[in-house]
Amino acid sequence: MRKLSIIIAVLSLGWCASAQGQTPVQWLDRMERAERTVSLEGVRVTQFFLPVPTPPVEEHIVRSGVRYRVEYLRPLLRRGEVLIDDGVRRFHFVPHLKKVQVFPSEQPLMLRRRQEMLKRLRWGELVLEAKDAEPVAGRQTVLLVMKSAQGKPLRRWWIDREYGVILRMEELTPRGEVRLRTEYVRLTIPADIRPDRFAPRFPAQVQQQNILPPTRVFASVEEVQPLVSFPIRQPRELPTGYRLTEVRLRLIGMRPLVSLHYSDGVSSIALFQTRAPLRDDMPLLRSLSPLAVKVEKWRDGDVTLVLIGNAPPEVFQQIRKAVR
Amino acid sequence: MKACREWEQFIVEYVDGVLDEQPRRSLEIHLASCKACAEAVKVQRWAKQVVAQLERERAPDYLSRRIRHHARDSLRRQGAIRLLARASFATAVAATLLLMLWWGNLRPEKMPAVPVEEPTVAQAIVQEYVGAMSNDGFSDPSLQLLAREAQMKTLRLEPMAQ
Repeated sequence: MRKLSIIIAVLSLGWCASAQGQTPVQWLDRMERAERTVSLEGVRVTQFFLPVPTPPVEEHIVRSGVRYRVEYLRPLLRRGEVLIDDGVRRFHFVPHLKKVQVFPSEQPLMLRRRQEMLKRLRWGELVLEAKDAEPVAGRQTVLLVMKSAQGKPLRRWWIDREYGVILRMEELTPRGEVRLRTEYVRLTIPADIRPDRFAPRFPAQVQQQNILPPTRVFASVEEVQPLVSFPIRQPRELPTGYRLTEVRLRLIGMRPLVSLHYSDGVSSIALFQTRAPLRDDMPLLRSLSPLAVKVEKWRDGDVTLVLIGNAPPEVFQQIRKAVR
Repeated sequence: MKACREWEQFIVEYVDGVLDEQPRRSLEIHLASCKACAEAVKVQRWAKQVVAQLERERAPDYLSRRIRHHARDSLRRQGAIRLLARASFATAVAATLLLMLWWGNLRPEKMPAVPVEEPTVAQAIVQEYVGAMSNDGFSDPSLQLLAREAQMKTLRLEPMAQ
């Protein structure tokens, strides 16, 4: 009995010491909540490694919950550029064009995707690990690693131990290569931010251009079918773990481009279909290949179909054969 | 028998509900048998909804009153002499358009909603795929913008060192 008490005490101590006694999913919940609530101000550096390595982009970020103000500091060509997102609209001011482009915010879509990811974690389709990690921007962190059910790492988040904010993030391809890394190098949290920092005020003589959202995202094929005249093709069956995550509709001129996006939480695969002419554009599509993306194009009547995705070859072929 | 290309010019007016009765009936007959034009109508309706969702600049009250006044006048005249009324209505519409144009010129910093520069189908496919690929939902607005630019190779970079 005494031995058992000691074992329980040691295990409890270990549990408390590592990641402050919270489960990985609790840390993720905290991170998700922080994305919607925390106020901060800091400088962040972002670098892409795929499909081609790019120089770092340095941004001054002011955030208050879902409201963002991003001022680009580096590269020099971007200096003065401002992005404001108030959760409803996104303003992108490009000084040398003397234009502010106004788009609908994508944050509602991001919220839906986060919920989908949390569901996959709860159902065991994705695995999450939490452990103590090195400080980032002088702040204590917990490292959350999201892995496939087979144990392949997909995302790494270094989150603030106190507030749950993402301080560093790495996105990996299904092959395990880092596609992008972004991290704060300076940070004040919580920050006292006046609401007018998110007011879309730009220099005089700047043109405001309301941009039609090029794409509308739907949850099901049934919602899109009445908007297009051709029958939307779908795979008769999907490989295990794959689900339809989004149906996107975009206009090319007056012709719709429909895409059905499937994912198992690790890989993504999309079936595009349109009556618009797709001429010799294959080189552009193949430019995605550094991201382990495969492309196949074919015609069915007057509809051109393109299957594109980074799923394993056998999954790609299985979906290709199942498309009716 | 008109070709689809000729019908296309009436579709916007049809969706806006301002097409005259005769061409509207003819177009509806055509739509019943032409899938391509029926699709164009659906798409135009969708585009109109999308535009309606975007914030619009409200015309000032005095301008709205003048527009309503012109419209009322033209409708009154419609009851007297049909032909003359039609001309009056056309005049009222032209005057309204001129007023709107004048108002637009007073506010040069504002522009109406416009579609994004037309991409090719392949460009649109790449943009859509990249937009949906990072599906964990933790990409903030700046990361979304940079990811698209990195994929389309339009990321503005430092000038090359000499």
